[in-house]
Amino acid sequence: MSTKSVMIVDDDVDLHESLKSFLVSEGFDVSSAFDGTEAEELLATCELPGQHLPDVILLDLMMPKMNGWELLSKLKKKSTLSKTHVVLLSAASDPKEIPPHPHVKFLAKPFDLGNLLGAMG
Amino acid sequence: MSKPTPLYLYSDHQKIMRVLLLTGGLAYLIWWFLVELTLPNAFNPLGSRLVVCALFFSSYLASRRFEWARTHVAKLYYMSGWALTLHYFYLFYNNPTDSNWIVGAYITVVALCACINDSEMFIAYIVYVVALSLGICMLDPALLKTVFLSGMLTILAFAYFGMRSRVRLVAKIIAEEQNNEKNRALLEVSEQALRLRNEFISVASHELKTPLTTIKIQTQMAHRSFQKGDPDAFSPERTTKTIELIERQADRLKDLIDSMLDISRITLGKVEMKFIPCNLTTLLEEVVASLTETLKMSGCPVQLTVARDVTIEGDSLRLEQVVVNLLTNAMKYAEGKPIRIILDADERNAVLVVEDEGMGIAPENLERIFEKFERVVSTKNISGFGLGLFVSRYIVEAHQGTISVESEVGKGSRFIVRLPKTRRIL
Repeated sequence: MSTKSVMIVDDDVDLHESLKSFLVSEGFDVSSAFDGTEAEELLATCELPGQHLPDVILLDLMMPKMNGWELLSKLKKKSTLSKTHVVLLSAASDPKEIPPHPHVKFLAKPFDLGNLLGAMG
Repeated sequence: MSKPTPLYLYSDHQKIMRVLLLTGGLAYLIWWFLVELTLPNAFNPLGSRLVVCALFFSSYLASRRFEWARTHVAKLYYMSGWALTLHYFYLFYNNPTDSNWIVGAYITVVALCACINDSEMFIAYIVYVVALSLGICMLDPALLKTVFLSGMLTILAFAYFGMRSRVRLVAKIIAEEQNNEKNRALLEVSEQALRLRNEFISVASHELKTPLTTIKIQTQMAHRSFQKGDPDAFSPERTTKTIELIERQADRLKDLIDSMLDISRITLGKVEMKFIPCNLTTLLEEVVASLTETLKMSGCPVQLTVARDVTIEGDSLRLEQVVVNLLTNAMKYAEGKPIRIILDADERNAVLVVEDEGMGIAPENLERIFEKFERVVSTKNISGFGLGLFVSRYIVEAHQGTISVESEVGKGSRFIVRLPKTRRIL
């Protein structure tokens, strides 16, 4: 069985590190971005020949430069979402605001790690 | 929204006209009542004229004082006016050369004028008076002088009462509009306050939940490792790292709660400050040193230029808060570009400048960033309560100083704090 790859997109360094350390301990292959722009650049390199997109993106909604909403709409336009799943992480947003999509899930902060793994499929 | 201009409400020209018309009209009325009362051929002169005069004054008073009278009694007067007109028509039918009915008719019309505020009705009355005057002249040219005088005075009276009525109507509309405008402004202020409050709740919950999430992840990880019996999970290194991480989150939560309490204290006017000699140079160096790690993480190179031993009379803890707020903001918005901190002083003031080369602030936002819960960019992008500059301004002003900002979009911002070395006793 191949290792599942996850991209964490969150500007909070401590949260980012905690998530990364947990997911690595669970056997995931983890990549990191600290804002939407950085994530977009990283995803562009993933689409190069020989590379592959992450299976799951953990996307924080409130971030500098490019926020989670903007990145999500870009991913939808580029049909990245047909190949990868997105788990939106937010402390303030209402899940009702999120347009339904089979590959997009929402997890309110603070979350249980069991629920996180469940949402990541 | 622009205010409607009361064009003809209080002009001098209107005032003179009003005085002339009122004086002339009343003088003529008194003359008519006293002199013509004695005419032997008048038809029931006293009773009829008393009714007309009473009608004139009461309608005038009623229309002036009461809104209800304007709408209801005016209709009654209007109908009585027509009844009186028919009465004078009957007088005319009996004896066309009797001036009694002419004067009576025009007084009736004047009385009715006090009640009207409709321009079409006003025109109809003028036509009526002119036609009446012309008709009389055709019957007996000897009456020309009386009829002309009566007609002119009637028209002038019409002009006065019509104008007065119009003016009051316009004044009423203006007052209503001003009232509406005031209400609209109040509504806008309330809506803005409500919007800011809701935004604050949303931001506050985000800010408080983020460190909580990290704490929760760490504790759950520890719990899972314990259940799995992972031997490395509780190694001294990992345990130290976990404890440090949790401690940092606790500090973040404490800082957030402190800034919320600050707002509450400021709003209630319960902030206490101790004004004692405070070395700003040392304070600044210590704050920058304490923020070394955070500054490194932000990727913003810091250039510190401080004058030696700048001492002012102030509350060092609160001033430290101002420096931290300005630096934290610079880090948030500088986007990894350099931050310069300059401390200088002249004879009277200490001047602290914090400048960055970040996104900058649009001119229309320069004033509002010092207000409660305000921030330069959308809440979806930048974390923080939006209280830092509000609290900073409060602290600086309590030190009798000023805080200002110069900024250009895309080129960066420059925050300037001026603090007097000695406080004036107010």
